[in-house]
Amino acid sequence: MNHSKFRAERILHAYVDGELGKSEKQRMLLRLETDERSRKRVCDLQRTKEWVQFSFEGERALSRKLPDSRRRIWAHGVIRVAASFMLLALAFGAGWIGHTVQQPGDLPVALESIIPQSQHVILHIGESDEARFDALLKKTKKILDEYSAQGVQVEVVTNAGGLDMLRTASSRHVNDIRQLIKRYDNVRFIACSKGLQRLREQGQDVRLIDGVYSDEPAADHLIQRLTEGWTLIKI
Amino acid sequence: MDLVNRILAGRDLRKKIADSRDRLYRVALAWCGDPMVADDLVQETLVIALQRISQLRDKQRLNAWMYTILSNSWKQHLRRIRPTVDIDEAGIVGEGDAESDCCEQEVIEHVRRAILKLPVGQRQTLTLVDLGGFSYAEVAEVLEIPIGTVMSRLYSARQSLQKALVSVRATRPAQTTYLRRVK
Repeated sequence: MNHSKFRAERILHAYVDGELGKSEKQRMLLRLETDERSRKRVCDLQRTKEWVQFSFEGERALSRKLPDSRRRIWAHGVIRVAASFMLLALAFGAGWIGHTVQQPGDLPVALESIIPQSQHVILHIGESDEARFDALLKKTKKILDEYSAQGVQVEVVTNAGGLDMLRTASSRHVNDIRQLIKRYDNVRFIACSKGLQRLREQGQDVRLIDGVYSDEPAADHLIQRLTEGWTLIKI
Repeated sequence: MDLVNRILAGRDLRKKIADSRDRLYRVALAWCGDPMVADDLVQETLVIALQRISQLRDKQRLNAWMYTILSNSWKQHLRRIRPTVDIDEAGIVGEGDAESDCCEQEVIEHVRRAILKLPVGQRQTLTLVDLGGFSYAEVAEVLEIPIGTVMSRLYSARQSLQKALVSVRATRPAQTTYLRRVK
């Protein structure tokens, strides 16, 4: 195809895709009135485009329920917002945000988004690392000790290697976690159901510490919580 | 008041991100052809978008920004499974997979297969325009390519698809519709 034909062809594509300006479109419409070949070509292009659209029409992501944000808009009052700021300020004080030191007792945290209205925190771990497990539990306890009275909710979400912390067969923290669950109503430990399924398929023992939830994939849960405005701290 | 407005705007953005799941999924499915992989890509995109929402300066760009994240996730996925394949590698299109008995579903499968056989760059461009409804300029921004490349990829992709559809027509007997009187 020579250059001018190629250019003419691209203009036909642009017409079908609604990319032409007013004057170009007018010229094209006039051309289509008189040029049988162009009319046929536009028809072919339009049909191809519609086949692409039709071939994926009605496809929906695998069922996942997202929360109704309209309800949540009114669920957070000014006091809660103020509490969020306090928590975030305390978070800075505690050295979570932007903290990159990796040693036992400290958390390598990348808090990439600070959502002002958040007063709830998710600590997410996806790696099997004893030092991080220790540090995570230490920080979880610290948040619960210091901010429970302000209504903070804490969730520890694990997937992939992080599941080792919540499996009785692999965890060295069974008693610590049991005690936290027993002592605090505002903490939940969550194991990724998808990750557990994979381990089960590999023949591994996937029994969890009593009180650990495993109702849904970790990614679903994270999305839901982030949509609700929780603050994610990735360990 | 400013704080309240910021909170409401933030919530509105998060809802838009969550609501875009199915559209992202359709494009991701067209890119990878595997519902599970597409689902994972969309999940990853949503998590990253929700995490980094504060980094989005121009809220009007939300849609393009999300597809940029999807595209990056897809590139990473490709690197994991096929580390040496170039995004513009030549593809093989329409090698006569059409069944003789082409019902609607079979044609759909045929179109999907033809899309999957396109080189990755063409596949992304075509689906962002046709499924995502993006303008050429937006696609150029999402994929970080010149607008001329968008147009050439689109041209090549549609040429290939049309060849695939021709092969469907060639194998499908023409249907004649007869009028009949109903008393």
